[in-house]
Amino acid sequence: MAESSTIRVPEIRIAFKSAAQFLVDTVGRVPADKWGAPGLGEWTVRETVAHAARPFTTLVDGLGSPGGDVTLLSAAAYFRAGMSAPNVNQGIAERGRQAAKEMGDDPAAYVGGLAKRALEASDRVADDFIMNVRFGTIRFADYLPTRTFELTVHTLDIAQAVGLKVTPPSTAARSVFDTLRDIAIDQGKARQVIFALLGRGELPKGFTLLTAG
Amino acid sequence: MAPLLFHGKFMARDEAMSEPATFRTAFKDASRCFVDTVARIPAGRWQAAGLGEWTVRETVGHTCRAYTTLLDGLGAGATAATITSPSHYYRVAQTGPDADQAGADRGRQAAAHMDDEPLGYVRELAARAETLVDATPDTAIATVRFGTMRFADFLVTRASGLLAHALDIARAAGVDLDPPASATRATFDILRELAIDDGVFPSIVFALTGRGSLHPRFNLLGQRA
Repeated sequence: MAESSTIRVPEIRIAFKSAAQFLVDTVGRVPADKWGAPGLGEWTVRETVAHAARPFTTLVDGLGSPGGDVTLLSAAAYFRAGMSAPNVNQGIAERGRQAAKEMGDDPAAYVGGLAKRALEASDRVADDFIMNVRFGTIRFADYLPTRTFELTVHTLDIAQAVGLKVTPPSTAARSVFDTLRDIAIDQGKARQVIFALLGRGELPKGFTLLTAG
Repeated sequence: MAPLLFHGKFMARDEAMSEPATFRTAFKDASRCFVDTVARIPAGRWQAAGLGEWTVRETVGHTCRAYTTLLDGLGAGATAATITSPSHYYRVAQTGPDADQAGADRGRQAAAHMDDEPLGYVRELAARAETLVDATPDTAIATVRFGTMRFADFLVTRASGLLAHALDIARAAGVDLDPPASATRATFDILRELAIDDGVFPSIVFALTGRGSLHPRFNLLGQRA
């Protein structure tokens, strides 16, 4: 099991910052006529953007809620807890639609504002700050990669939905890849992923690392 | 053919080898994993189909090259690295003149060296390589087929080769194998850099998060024109 983050700590901050910028830049490039187009799952592009910005809000909320004993020892442990939590997806769709309403007429400015708040709040805490988050209590340095992950992956969703060609910043990409690696090891799927990436066998249809077990 | 200079752009970054202890641990664990796997190959499976055009026995022979290249490459007295990271090594190897037929032939030759006692051969090579690795300082420069590289970087490529081929052999021979996390991580670190360099990172993320699938012949180490 992957129980502690191996990324050197300054890198997690750079990765998060670049992921935040990646979302903000991509939102700024969404063509005006695409906001109502289909996005991720049942959402429109606009609702997907609102959902994509949620990591900023959850980060700021968590930073305002200092915790005691750590229950989640790594980013992978956070995802493991999240995936096995009952009804984890309940309310997600509705929250996305609610957040979309809050964005108002200028989604790029809204997302940029949230990003700025989250970055400022992050700059004020030490890496070993312990915070309460949705699925438990976690060190800031282990939580931040989960925010980088969400931001980067949903930005790719947005880009794909609106047909934008984007290149994720390499620091964010590394962080996301390392999180996927740790989840794969955690779930005993590392061999399957290595084989798939090295031309030794395809992943089964419907394969995902983001599932309980 | 992709110009190699292009890779200098990101390859200069310290990659998997970064933490002094981890690259040695990754190698040792990968070596142990490979030797254990070979020890558990059922007697009747040595001639079964292995990786690509090789038998299981030839795949084992080929994998032993991870050791012989170490034994040959350390102590050659090189002083500067022309290959700047583990992933850079694989990029150069991919575009090198070498990959297909010559590689397959070397696998067969390596298998021929194993004689009747492949496990003893593997164990002895592993022990010699591990002893040499222990005696080699972090700062050493290795001479490899495609140039020179830092010992730490080279060792990571040996670890990932041992691990990936142990997985190949285990699958071909029907051996159950739980790959060590240290070597698995080292292997993923190389795959990560190759993926980012290739611009296929988004496709991989989509494939691993249930959003799409990879091209049927997807291979980060596929031979390049």
